[in-house]
Amino acid sequence: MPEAMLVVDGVSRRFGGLLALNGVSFSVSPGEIVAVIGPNGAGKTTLFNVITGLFPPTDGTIRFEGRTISGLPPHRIAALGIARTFQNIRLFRSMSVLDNVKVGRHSRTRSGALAGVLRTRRERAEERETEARARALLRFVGLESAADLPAGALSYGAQRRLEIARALAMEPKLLLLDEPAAGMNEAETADLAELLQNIRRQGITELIVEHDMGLVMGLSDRVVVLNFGAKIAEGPPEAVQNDPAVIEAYLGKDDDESGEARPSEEGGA
Amino acid sequence: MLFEQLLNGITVGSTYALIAVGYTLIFGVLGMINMAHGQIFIFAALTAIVTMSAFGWPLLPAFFVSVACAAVLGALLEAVAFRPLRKKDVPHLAPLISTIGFATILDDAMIKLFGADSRFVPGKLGGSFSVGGVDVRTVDLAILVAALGLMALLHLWIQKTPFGKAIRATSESPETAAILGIPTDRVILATVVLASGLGGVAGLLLGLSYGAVAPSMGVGLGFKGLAVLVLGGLGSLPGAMLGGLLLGVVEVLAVAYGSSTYRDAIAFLMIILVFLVRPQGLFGETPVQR
Repeated sequence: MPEAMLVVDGVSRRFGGLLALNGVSFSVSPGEIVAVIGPNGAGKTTLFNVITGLFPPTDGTIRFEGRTISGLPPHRIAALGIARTFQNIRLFRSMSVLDNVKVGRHSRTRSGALAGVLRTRRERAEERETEARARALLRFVGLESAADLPAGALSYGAQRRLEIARALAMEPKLLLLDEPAAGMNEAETADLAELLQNIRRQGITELIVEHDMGLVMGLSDRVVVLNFGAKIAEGPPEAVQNDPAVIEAYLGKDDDESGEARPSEEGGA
Repeated sequence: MLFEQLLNGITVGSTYALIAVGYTLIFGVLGMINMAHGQIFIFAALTAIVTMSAFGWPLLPAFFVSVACAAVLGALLEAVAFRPLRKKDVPHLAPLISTIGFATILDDAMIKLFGADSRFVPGKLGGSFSVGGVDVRTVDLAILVAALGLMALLHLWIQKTPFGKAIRATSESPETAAILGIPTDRVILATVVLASGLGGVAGLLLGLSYGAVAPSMGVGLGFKGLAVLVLGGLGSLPGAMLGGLLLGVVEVLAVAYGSSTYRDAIAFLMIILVFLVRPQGLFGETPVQR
């Protein structure tokens, strides 16, 4: 197995009296798809927030490609090659679909206050490249015809795909996806699984928080299970699925049928 | 007569708009009203006027002095009044109070440095000419061209350049912008500096229009800019631009066809009427129903 890309090492995060993450450790290797599952409130989104620097861990460290990133501001972590999408979609609703993707290019282009003002030959070349890459990404996620619409006008599933395109515009090495299938119907979820496979084929490592067990089982190489902020299991999907601690965590707090662990034929695209 | 009044109103209004744009930009990225904006641009305008008088400089370099002074004050404001309160869990309105503190210090500093009296703007643009029977003061035309030109440039810059997109992204969601690799602290600093620099232009333009600038003008003009910020719709640049022009025209018409005593009363009555019809302001977004 190649050297780990992301190492989460004994990470805890406290909010007042609540221990949202409790000594969580795991690692992600280049090229892997790792899923993080767990009942609601298990700390999955908190884990993403800590990795991307929205707030620092109370305890423990996070390393990315050998360098400690815990404590760095979010834009520095982003520039190192970690991109993410959000559980509650966070697009720039007043901007066009295309501009949303272009914003993702910020750390990959010269974008100081005077960039694009003098319109030198180099700047115009860069602008053309940004435009071309943004359109290519929209094509990749199947939104090329919606480029000039306001982002807020897209359907729910399309907004999720736009968020993925925006994250890919950052040219990440590691992509964090927070419940990418939430609110999608079966057909949309199948399309999503294919998209995520295609992203992996481009050499991008993925860490996915997801409730849809079909998607998780069909797609991921390994699964990390959180419950009440602590890791209770880790391993290949089939092994985790039959782990007594996991079954207990889900049966004890099962509040929707998507939490039910079941095998799936999905994601084999 | 009516056309002259309208032109006069649009001229004054264009400077209000430039002031309001300063509030709007800062409100956009920080969600906060900068109560020191009026003091910053009057301080800058006075500094420019004093420099002109001392060295016998013409008008154009004076604008650079005014912009540079306002920009430095803006950077200082961000460093002492906004940034320290952004890091910790502080009450939402704390930065409002710290900008009032900054404004108070500037008020006192202006009186210590320049005295409380009005300073006349030297080397005024005199003369007027006639276009199709309408008398146009050269100075009014210069103000109008400068203010509208700057706002057009600002609009293009915000809409088209990568940094403009970064400002819009930060305005919509600072957290999301940061996750996308945008250094939001730097964007906020640049925005406060830009907003203050535009104020530096507006302050000196108003000085040209009135013929003089006094330290006490900061408060009153600041409130007008604030009124325009709300009139146009919080955070909307086109709203601030149009709202400023509207306020200027209404004020001038109130003086021309009513009484100068009631100028501000009529102007603010107009604002109240607009809110009765459009509570979110001219260009404000209707709050999302959930």
